[in-house]
Amino acid sequence: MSSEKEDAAIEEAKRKLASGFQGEEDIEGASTPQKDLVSSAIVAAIAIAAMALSWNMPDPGRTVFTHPGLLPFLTGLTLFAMAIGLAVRAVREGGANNLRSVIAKSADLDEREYVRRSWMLIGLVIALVVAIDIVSFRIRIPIGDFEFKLSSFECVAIPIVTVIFKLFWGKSWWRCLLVSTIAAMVLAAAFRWGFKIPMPGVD
Amino acid sequence: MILDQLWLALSPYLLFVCLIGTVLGIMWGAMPGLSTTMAMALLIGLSIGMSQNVAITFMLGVFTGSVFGGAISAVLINIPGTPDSVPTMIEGYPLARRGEGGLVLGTAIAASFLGNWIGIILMIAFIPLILKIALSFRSWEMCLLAMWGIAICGTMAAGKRPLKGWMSGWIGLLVSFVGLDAIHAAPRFTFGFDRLDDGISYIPVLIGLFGLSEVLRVMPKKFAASIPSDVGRIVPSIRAMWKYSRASVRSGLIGTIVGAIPGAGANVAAFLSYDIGRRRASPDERAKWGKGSYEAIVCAEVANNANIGGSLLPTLTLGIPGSAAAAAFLAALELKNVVVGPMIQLEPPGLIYYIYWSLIIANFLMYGAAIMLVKPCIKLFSLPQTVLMPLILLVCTLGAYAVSLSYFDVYIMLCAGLLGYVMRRFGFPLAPMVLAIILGPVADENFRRALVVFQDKSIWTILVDNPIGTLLLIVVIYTFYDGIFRHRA
Repeated sequence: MSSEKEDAAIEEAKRKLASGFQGEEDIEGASTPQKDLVSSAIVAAIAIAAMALSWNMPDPGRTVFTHPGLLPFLTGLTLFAMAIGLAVRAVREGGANNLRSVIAKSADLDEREYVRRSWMLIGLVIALVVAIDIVSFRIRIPIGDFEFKLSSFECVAIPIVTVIFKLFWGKSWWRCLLVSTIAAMVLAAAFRWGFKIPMPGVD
Repeated sequence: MILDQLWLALSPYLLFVCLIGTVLGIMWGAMPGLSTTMAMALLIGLSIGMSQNVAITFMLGVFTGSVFGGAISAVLINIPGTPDSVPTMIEGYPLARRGEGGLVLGTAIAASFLGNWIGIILMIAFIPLILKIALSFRSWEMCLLAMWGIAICGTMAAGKRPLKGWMSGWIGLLVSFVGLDAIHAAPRFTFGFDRLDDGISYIPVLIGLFGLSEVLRVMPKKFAASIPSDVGRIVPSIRAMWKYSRASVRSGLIGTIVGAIPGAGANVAAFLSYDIGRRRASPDERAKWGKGSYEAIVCAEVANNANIGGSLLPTLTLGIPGSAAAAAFLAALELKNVVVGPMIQLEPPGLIYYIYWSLIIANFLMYGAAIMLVKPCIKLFSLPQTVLMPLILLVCTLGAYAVSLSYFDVYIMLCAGLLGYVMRRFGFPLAPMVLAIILGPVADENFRRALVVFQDKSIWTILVDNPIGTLLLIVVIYTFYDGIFRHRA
């Protein structure tokens, strides 16, 4: 980091400290009135759905006090009240204006790049998880008394992680492939032989 | 029995495991972007293949090491490894630029060692008292305690926006209701999926929220650190540390008390202690505050390490995690069939003493390992996060799968990770959600049981006959009142 950036990081931290109690998780920077208004609408919808489902739950007991939907209904009701509270606060802070900013592209180039890379990563993570589930096979090669196992986990993880490395690390394909192969094999070996945990699929 | 557990904890294999955990924790904490909670959440999966004592020793080693580890990158490269090392960064980095980096880290190591001691001593002193009180808790009190845990966690995690903390907790409560209910075995929110009948395990949720969502948040960032070449002398003199003894004790008390409050972890402890320390410092020392003060570093580091003992206090005695990292430790204990709560003193026999000794040993090993590791850790900063994060992604997948050898849990982890990422982008804290998923079943079952017990009684009789419950009810109401009106003012 350059000296100006380093000083800016310290000044930013000092400013945050001076503004009082921040809480355990730093959420202040991520909150905007527009985001709060949108999230309050989503949470309100979840709360209403929870109340409706709780109300329709079958009651095998004799009294309302043991009804399985009692606490879920009360939770939904209070969650709905909280969502209203958040919406009111967001509107007071001007959240109803420029509501499109929640989905609009940022003017900041770094932020746009961050969003683009985030979407790419999310897509690859979903592909990895689904592919490990769908692809299922095993290869066993006896080498003397030892049996070398290769499951679909390694075969799926290596190419997808190689692509992730290539996109985010930016080194040559061969280097990315080498690192991802070593990583997947070592991890699989650690789980399979070290912790005695079989791999997903057929191990 | 106490000494038996000490000999057990001192066995060479367990000492080795503890050292490995501590070293791993320090290196993990030193890497910018990798938090203590993330380390703990990911290691739950690995701990499944370990025996009970090995798993406990390993996880406590990682917990102790990673809280300190954050100070290394905060001081040397001006990027806090963990959020609680921000005060250390403010004070330590200017001193490091003046060539005192080694001494700053040495002071932070000594302060962390002291902080851990204060936390452990207070934890050991207060556990019998809290267990005694906890034994008198019945359904009504347990329900209120669980609700207070979720409410205060929301307040503490979300800072100036407690409403968002509570909303996160309440969504977690709804998630915890999924599955067959404990009284009638009636399906709730299962939508006809048989796999949801057993409910949603909170371990994949924890791995997703604190592991995967962190990967999604950190990896797309472009990160480059300037690597320092030399740090100079490390070990501070005893005389120099003695100067800060009063600040150490005060910060240790703050750290432990904050740690015992659900949702308030090392972050709140370090900031609070730093702030109080500044107000109570001598005028000469106060002038240095913000420009490079050793006393400030002691305040922050003692508090965030004392927080470990504090956060384990409610975790072990009441089953209410004091922090998100303690929730991960609780999950590891549950996987080993350890039932936390009032009975932990008796069942399994001697386990509580084993936990005490493991923490003490981990603290000694942390001190030695930290001094040895400061210089090698500098090399870690040249390792790009883009290399590390995909490996963490694979550990998340295998860790979630290992919990019950079910790929359904991996999908739960994926959903939780994506939800956590979206929640962070919209400014919602994650810890209240995890706490609510853990405490939801406790609150639900005890709430309905209490209603059946109270159905023929008047409100007045209930309030008078259950003084602890009434006190807890007042505390719950005050928590909401304070959250709404203090932050509105």
